[in-house]
Amino acid sequence: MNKYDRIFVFLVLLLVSFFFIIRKEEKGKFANVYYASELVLQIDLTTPTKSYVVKGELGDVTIVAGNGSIFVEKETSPRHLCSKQGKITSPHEKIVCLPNKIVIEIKSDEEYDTVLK
Amino acid sequence: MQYKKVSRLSLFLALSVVLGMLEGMIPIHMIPGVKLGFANIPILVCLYLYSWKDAFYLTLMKVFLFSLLRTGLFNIGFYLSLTGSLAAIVSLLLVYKTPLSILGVSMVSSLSHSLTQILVASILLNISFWYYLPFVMLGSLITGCITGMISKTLILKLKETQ
Repeated sequence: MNKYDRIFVFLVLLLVSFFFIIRKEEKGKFANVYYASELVLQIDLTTPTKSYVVKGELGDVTIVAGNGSIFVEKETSPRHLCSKQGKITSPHEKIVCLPNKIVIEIKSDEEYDTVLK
Repeated sequence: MQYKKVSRLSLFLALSVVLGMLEGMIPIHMIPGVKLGFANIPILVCLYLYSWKDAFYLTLMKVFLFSLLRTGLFNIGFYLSLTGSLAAIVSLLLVYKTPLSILGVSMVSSLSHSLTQILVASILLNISFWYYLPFVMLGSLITGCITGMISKTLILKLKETQ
């Protein structure tokens, strides 16, 4: 590795850290809750924390959302994976509760992240 | 002399395809889109031992052969592979005369390979480009460094035997 290589690596690392800093600012504006692929609830995440109840396959699912984050508080399922997952905040994260057929995703204003359906 | 070159080039091609397949079996999928890039080692070696033309043809043939054997021609995977490899070889040709060592050259090509791929993927598949960018850049720096080191030792060994 010579001098020029090191300069190149340094420049790229600088760019990477720059992109990391930018990325942090991205925040979800609202969350969509799907039951069996159907949109059942849309929650505004800019409001203070509130809890919502959605009907799932095995029973009621209690979702707590607000202040930019969302998590599942209570649900009936064998392993409670989605309530163990905890809070999600970024538009690229998802909570999936397969036994209840519930999917929660965060959306920002931009529509570019409406990933493959 | 010519026979030696032809047989060596075909060996590189075969190596490149096989290495590409082998690396698909290694379960390192921490970041989607980042892989080791061993398939580029023969291309790098070819570029330094022979001419840029040979390396260019090698890349094109590698993409076609690999797609034919693994994913099939003219689907999304094929276009991703083609654009990525073309970007990698073009950037290779642009930088290999600069004072960067083979490590740097390998990193440049690895970067341009993965950046082009996620750019094309974000257009074709509608995924977010900016989210993946820092992870992929970091990943390709590391993998580019690894492939560069391997190529360096390979080139030295091959030059000895020539």
